[in-house]
Amino acid sequence: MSTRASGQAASARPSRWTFARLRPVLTKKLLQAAFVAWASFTLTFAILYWLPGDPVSIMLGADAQVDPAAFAKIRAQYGFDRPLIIQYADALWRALHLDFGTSLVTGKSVTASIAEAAPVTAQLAFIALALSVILGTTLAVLSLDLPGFPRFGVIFSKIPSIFVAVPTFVVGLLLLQFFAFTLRWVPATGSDSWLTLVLPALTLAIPGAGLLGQVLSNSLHQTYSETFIRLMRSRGYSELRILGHALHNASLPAFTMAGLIVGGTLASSVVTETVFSRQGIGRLMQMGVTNKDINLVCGLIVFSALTYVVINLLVDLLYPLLDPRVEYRA
Amino acid sequence: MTDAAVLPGSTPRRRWSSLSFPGLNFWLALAVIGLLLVCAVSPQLFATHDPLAIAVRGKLQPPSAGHWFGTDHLGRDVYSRLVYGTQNSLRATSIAVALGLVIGSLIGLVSGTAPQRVDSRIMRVVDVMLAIPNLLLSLAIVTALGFGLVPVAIAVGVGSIGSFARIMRSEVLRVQGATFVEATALLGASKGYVIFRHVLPHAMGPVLALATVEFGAAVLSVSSLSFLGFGAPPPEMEWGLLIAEGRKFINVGWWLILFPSLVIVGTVLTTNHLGRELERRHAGDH
Repeated sequence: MSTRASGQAASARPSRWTFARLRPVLTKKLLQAAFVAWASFTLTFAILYWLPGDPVSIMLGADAQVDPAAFAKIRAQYGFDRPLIIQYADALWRALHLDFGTSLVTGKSVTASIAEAAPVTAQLAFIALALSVILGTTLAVLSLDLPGFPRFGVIFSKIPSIFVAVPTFVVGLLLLQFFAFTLRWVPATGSDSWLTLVLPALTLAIPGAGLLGQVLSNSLHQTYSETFIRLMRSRGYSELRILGHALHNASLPAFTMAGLIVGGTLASSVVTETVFSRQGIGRLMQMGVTNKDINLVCGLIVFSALTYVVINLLVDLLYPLLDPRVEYRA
Repeated sequence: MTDAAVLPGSTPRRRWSSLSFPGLNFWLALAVIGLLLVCAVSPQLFATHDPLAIAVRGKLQPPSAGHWFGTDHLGRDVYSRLVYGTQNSLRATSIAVALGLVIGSLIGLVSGTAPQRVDSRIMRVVDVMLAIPNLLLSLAIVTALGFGLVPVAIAVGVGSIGSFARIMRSEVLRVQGATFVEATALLGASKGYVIFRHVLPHAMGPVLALATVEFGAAVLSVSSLSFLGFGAPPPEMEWGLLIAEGRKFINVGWWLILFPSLVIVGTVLTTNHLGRELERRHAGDH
């Protein structure tokens, strides 16, 4: 069911914003988000705690020689001797309170470790996202071969597909090699000055920019074949002004990919932060997997799924604001 | 609307494709894949040195006529190591894509042909798989299965199940709506016959195109996981692992990172190009 605006859009629009109209939509979206969050927790739990048969043997490694008594003691200590369904119910209950237990290696609370690392990654991811939007948009616009722009569209249209084909660690290492070791413009590692942010942010931005560039360039091409562009040309608008209108139109499909791009950025941060030795979410993930710290890994994956869910919820709710043609659907 | 239809070439995509030679690129891409396959099956054909022969005297040599891609910190020939590494990289990637293709297609096929209630439940699960970024899902699976080439391959494959399931389902739904499929069912053909004789073959094209694109994505994921140290342990050779080893000598030997990187990027670009070409062909079909 959609709350359909009547013929007089101007008079109908304010009524769409009353809370009563919005409530069923909000409820449904929130329920959907909660379902995805719950299901991703369950999936992660199933993979990490059920799949291997015994979490303790993962922690100790496949060929560890431990006497059975000590083994049983460790199992009891972490509660792995209880029936699976009880373990699951307990873990779910604690996860609802944002408690993912303690790290099996450092003994610190998983939630506290994530809270500590999140700002580092958030700062990096923000800059990276801004960079990828700028880079992606520039590439898409340059690929259009608009009058008055340099006519190298064919070249620029290939760059996004190269960006998505390069592994993140390769981008990071090549940037590091060139700018930090050959030119010595920026320090290679560390997280003290803003200069150290430049290379990691650029590394993280490249895959997003490639994805965005591809989507945006497709929708820009489509937009430019629409009548309103020809109308604006015929009325003598400047190319820049037309571009503004076209971008507004074409950015909408790209906007729906925000969740995907943010999720991808989080995933790429695992590699990026390992390459640049930054203490963020990604580095935590890499250490968690290396140490087989399943509590930490579980918490981190649920954290990133939650991020994805929240971003998608925001996109869903903001989309009709940006594009009046789309209406809220309950 | 008619305005837009009358003017030809108003979308630059068409102009672009008439400029380049898709046929040539296509065969070139196929040739590259063939070359990689030969490298994987019999690396001794292309390798110039023993990839494991240690010669500490000739360590960290820049590229030369004797060592095309230079030597690493133990004096091993980087070019030969890359050639031998192809085997592990392609093996892991193939396992991953095969796993995702088979399981994902099966889920999509069941979902598309099942009653609506079952269908919507299956798709909910698939949505959740798509909500977790592939690399993170793979990391969780690697944690559970342990490190090594095969666990990494399985992890990457499981990560791609979601996208295969989704495209297979939409294709199945599309083909099922076609008149000839309905006609066959009306003529009394059993459901199984219709699905396997008519629906599956017609739905397979776009799924195989996706498999080609996913091959490139799997090369990226496998090499990323190897780079992070979760793949095969060091005496083995793999593209991502070679770069991880070269990383320690980043300030002295640019060739240790650049050449393996170029191989990875080239492979991914090639398979992506092939995948897009296949997709375009299928889009032209209907």
